[in-house]
Amino acid sequence: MEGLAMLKYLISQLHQLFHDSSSILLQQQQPSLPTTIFLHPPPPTTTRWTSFDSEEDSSVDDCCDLVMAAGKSHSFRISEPLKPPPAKKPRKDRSRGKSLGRSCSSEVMEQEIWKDFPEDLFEAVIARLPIAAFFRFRSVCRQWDSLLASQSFSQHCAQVPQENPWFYTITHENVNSGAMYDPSLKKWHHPSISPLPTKLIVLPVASAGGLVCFLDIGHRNFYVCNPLTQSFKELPARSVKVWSRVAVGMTVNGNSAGSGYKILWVGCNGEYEVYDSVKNSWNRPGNIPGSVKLPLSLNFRSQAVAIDSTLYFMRSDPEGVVSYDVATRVWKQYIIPAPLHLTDHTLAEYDGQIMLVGLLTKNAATCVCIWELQKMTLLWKEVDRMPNIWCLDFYGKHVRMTCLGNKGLLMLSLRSKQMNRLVTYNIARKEWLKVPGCVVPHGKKRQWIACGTAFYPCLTAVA
Amino acid sequence: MAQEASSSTSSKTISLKTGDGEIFEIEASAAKQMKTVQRLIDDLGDDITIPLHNVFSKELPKIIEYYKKDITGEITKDFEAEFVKDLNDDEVKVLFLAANYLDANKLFEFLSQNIADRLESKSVEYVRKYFGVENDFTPEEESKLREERAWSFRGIKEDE
Repeated sequence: MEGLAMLKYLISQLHQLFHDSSSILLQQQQPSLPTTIFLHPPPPTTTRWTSFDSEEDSSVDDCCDLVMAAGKSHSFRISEPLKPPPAKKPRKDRSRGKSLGRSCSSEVMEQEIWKDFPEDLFEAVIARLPIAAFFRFRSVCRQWDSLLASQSFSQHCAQVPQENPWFYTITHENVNSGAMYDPSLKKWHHPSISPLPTKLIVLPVASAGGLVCFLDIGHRNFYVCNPLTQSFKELPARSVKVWSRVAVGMTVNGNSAGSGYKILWVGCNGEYEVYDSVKNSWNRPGNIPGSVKLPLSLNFRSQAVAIDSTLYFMRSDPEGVVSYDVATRVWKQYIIPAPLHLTDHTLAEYDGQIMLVGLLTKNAATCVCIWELQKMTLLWKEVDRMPNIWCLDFYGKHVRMTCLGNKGLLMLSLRSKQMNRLVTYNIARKEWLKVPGCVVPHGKKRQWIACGTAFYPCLTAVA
Repeated sequence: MAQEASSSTSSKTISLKTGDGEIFEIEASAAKQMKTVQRLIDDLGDDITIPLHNVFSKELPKIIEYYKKDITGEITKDFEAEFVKDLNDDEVKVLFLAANYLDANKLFEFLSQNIADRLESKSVEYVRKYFGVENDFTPEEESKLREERAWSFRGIKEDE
């Protein structure tokens, strides 16, 4: 591609203007650039994502019943520890000798200056690229490849408003690594290695600030990772003796994972603990008050919802919601009668509003419904339904639904004996969209999504 | 010497002189949005023609046009789309650099996003040329990176 003559600008200090002679702009040698100072060790960011082969597996209904394909071992490449990013190299001055020439556009510049593009300017642009494009352009040069470890780049990323979440899913066919769905491109991405220990089966249970929290299938250990960069941490062991099933919620301190995050687990007997990433420790702030009825019949199929510093969990007996504020350490209970004929229901949230998603089955007709919680009356009010024509596909069939993601954009996995539908629902726009089948590279068979969670892609979130 | 007449005698206008010697008028309230200009006004006074050595007569009118809309609160998505519609990638880059020099934040952010949108479908080589960046990977390293990140290239048809 022919290089275009173009104008380059000197970014000069203001006081230099007084010393420049008026009309001739001097070509200046690019001063050597300051070395980037890393305030903490760069996280491992080597990402290796290539295709993998799907394997046949008998499908099971609920992700919690996943019989361990533990016998299956896949070979995965283990993330390499990151080589320290190179110091910023001074750019060579690019004088092309075409200093006085016509640009392709119609007007002619009086003077044309060749100058290296000021380096921090491209960070402002790169931070605004879609995620996949960012990963492609990491191949531009070494400096771009190491942007993930750059403080200034993190700051640029933090200023860019978050778009739609992605979905990190575990498929029945391959329980060891996830498939990720990007709703803005309507594409599935398949990492070839799991960001997590390969011998364990772990399930995504919560997410906040671009990080996903995983719990192993035995409900023992927690792991946190950024699915995009594979920044990963195994959380310290909890102080329980019995590994019973728990519900999990996650919040970030402030606006992003940069200020740390908290993870809460709660069990049916009222036991709970909160993990603080800043202190890297679990803490039991007290007991659930008597106002919350025990045992907590937690709805484990429903993800917890986080609004600011409060986590909301669905429960039954009595039907409703329990909440915990990680800032004030207060538990509250809300008794909310469930809609009739409701199954497979989960909590969701949009813009501070608590929602409910579930299947309504009446007289062999099944439909997906969306409710909003009326705060004054503590009643669910139906606000939307899946288009009837899609619901007809389920007529007379026994359908199960899993809701992945619970904030703003939901992914619903609808399964009956022969059918496996994936649909996204945009709460704000009340928009139902079909999701293309999840097919691995070089594969043809559609994968069955067992479970998953939404996460807001954040290149710089560190576990 | 091109000179645009001030639109109203009551609002204060500032004279800006481009690197190629042309003079343009801008309202003081718009000049406030360009921090570099404002700093020069603070240093030199608002009666003097402010010299902008690194901005030229091709870009400055466009920038003035943007901030004229900004001070009347009329910047909409449609206006912004129209604003860049007829600009090619290089013209946008020149404007972007000028916005950076002028420390014109709103325009800078808008153009960053516009450039990102334009580059999204381009090839790695195009992006290198666009930013004047040299490829310091060896061919082996580069092909290894591409292979590792194959997922991000999948299904992408890169424009030249």
